[in-house]
Amino acid sequence: MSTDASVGGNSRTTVAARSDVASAPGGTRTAEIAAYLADVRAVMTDLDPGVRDGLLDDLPEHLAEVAAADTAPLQSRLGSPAAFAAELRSAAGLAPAPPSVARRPNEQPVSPAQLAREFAVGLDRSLGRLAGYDTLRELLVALRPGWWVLRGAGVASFLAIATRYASYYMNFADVIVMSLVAFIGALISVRLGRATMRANASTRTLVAIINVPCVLVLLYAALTIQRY
Amino acid sequence: MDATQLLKGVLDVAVLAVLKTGDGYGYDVLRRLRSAGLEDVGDASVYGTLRRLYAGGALTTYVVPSDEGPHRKYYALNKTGHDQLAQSAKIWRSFASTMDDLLTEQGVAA
Repeated sequence: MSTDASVGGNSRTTVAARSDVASAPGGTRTAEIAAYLADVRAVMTDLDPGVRDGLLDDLPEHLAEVAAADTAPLQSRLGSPAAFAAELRSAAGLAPAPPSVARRPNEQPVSPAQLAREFAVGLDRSLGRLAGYDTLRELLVALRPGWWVLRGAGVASFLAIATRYASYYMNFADVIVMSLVAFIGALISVRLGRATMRANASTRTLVAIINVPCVLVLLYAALTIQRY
Repeated sequence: MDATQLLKGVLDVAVLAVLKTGDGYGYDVLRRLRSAGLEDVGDASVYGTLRRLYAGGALTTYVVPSDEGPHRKYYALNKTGHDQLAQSAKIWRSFASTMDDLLTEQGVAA
């Protein structure tokens, strides 16, 4: 096994000092070199540390030389860090990296469920911002008491009209009665809404199911309101 | 046929041969290989080959400080390296002439 040593008859000075990438002419590219090195190193984590360090020993200088000779990004000349590492391993006579190492976390395929989740989060944010909130969810939470009032007043009014006043012209007394009905309906609905917020999951699910016909009734009422 | 596949098998000989004419650091060896006509040789291949030859005991290294650039680690052939080059060159010449003869015999144009 050879060691670092001066070769006889050679006038060049031997020094023990490790080279310093920061002293390269392209000193501003130190960060790019460091990032590239880190990425190469990351796909070599399966190697024995001694072997790995030996393999990458003077790679910083080499990358600094490449960066100094060529203003183009390192990746355009050397390829991706993963490809560089694979070629390096092969040339050095080492086995290819196992898939778990070769595939870095940020390169893992994204599952459809994850994509859908990310899309939903993005939509939640962008729609919320349109309305001046951080998220759409935040806006909907703020609108909740309004929904309770609408639900109670709307459904109570509809039931009152449908059962007794349908197709009848409303006189002043009827308007008073209807207002009272709507108000009481709203109170009940708000009370139900507040109770639901403290309720357990199964009760909340039940209320959510009850909300479906409520929404349908409100939609029907809104569409047919001219008839009354 | 892809020359890069062929190159893999003979890169050792090429690197040793380049170093025989003079010590060199990684980037310098790469440049010399390319100017000798091996234009497709990759950075990682040359660098990996140098590290393997060094680990295998065929090369010695020494560091040369530089004012205008990074310090450079020079690689030099030692006795083992010279022997390995001589032996590999013999194998290569024999292989190359065998292939050449085969192609000539089969009437394949040069």
